[in-house]
Amino acid sequence: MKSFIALALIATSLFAGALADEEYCQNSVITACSSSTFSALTGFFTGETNSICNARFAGIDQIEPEVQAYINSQLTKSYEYLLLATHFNSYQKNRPGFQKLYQGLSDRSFDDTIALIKQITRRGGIVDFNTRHESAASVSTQRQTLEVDELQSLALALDNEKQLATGATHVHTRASHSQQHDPELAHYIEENFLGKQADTVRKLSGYANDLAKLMKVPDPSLSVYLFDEYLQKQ
Amino acid sequence: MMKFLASFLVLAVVAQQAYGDFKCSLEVPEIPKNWIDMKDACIAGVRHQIQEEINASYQYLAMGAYFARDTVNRGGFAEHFFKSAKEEREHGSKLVEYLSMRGQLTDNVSNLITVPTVPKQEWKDGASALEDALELEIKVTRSIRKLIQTCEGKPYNHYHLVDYLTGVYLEEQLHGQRELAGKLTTLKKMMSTHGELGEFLFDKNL
Repeated sequence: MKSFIALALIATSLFAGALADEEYCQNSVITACSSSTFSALTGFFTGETNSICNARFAGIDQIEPEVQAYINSQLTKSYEYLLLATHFNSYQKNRPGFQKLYQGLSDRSFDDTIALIKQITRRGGIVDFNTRHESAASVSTQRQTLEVDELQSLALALDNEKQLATGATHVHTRASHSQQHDPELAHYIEENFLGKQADTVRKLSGYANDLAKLMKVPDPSLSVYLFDEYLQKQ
Repeated sequence: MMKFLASFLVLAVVAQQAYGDFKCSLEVPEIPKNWIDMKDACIAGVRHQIQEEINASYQYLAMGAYFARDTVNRGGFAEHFFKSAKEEREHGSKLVEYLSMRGQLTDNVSNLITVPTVPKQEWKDGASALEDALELEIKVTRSIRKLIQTCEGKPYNHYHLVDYLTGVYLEEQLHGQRELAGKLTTLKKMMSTHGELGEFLFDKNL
């Protein structure tokens, strides 16, 4: 009986030892360095093997796909806004204020895309531009019709911004309420996205409601003209 | 009662006149259209070129994302490719603006740019990525040359666009290609004898 317990103890400690080997980069290095081939070393550091020598910690495994989906959402929206700006830049529309507003949102989404790529890789993650994840942080790549009038474009932009804010909120929720918390990522989203997004949503809602009020006249063309002029100065 | 109903009806009619017909879209007035003089083949060519630039931008983004990985850790390369991605997007966007300036894009805007996929998301090393970047630039340059030929063709010469494409776009392409070729050559020299160390040093100075 005694010997059995001792055996069990040894087995447990051996198992724990094996686990520890998996969990520490140092152990990988020791193993690699004790083998005399160069390939052992390169294998550990090029990411080809499931090396532990990387920047991944906390909840990155669960949040990575959400952030990847969100990166693709921002990028898709960036081009949608670019086309919306283009629509108002035609000679028939000729609304430089609206164009400026949507071009600004397009540039912002593109810059945010790069910022998010830097954030996910900072945490040891990778980006996948080709896979569309099923996630609340995703948007459809099917483009909606952008040939809309001024008021409708504000409504469309408001919906878009809320969708992006919902996506960021989803990433934040996953970062803070998953089994493995990731306060760093949650904080990043809060600091760089959620506050800014609340401002944008508020601004667009204000624009949409203002313009709707101004258009309660038989011929709203002057109202729209003045509102566009106002947008130019923002 | 009858009187009340009548006055209500009158009020309703007046209200209808004052506040009714909530009209959102304004009519497009008729104006002379003779100034809109770009031909279909050239327009289609420019639209194609816009998508090419956007595709290149996506590919550069993927390169930047790869070299930004912690296990790859080539920050110099990553920044370089992110910058290129921004430039390509800018090129596309300037061509879009050009079409608007020439009276185009009054409709058919929604399908001007489609979201592309990227053919490659991982690279063997910095040199192979720079080589791909050079190939990508060569492809874009060829595409611009083809566009110039289309728009310069008889019987209608798009003088202004051709000048713009030659003076601004080709100018940037050729300088960009020379820069990439120089970088790639230097890197390959350093890597032929010093391998990883060569790439490490090259990246820090990129």
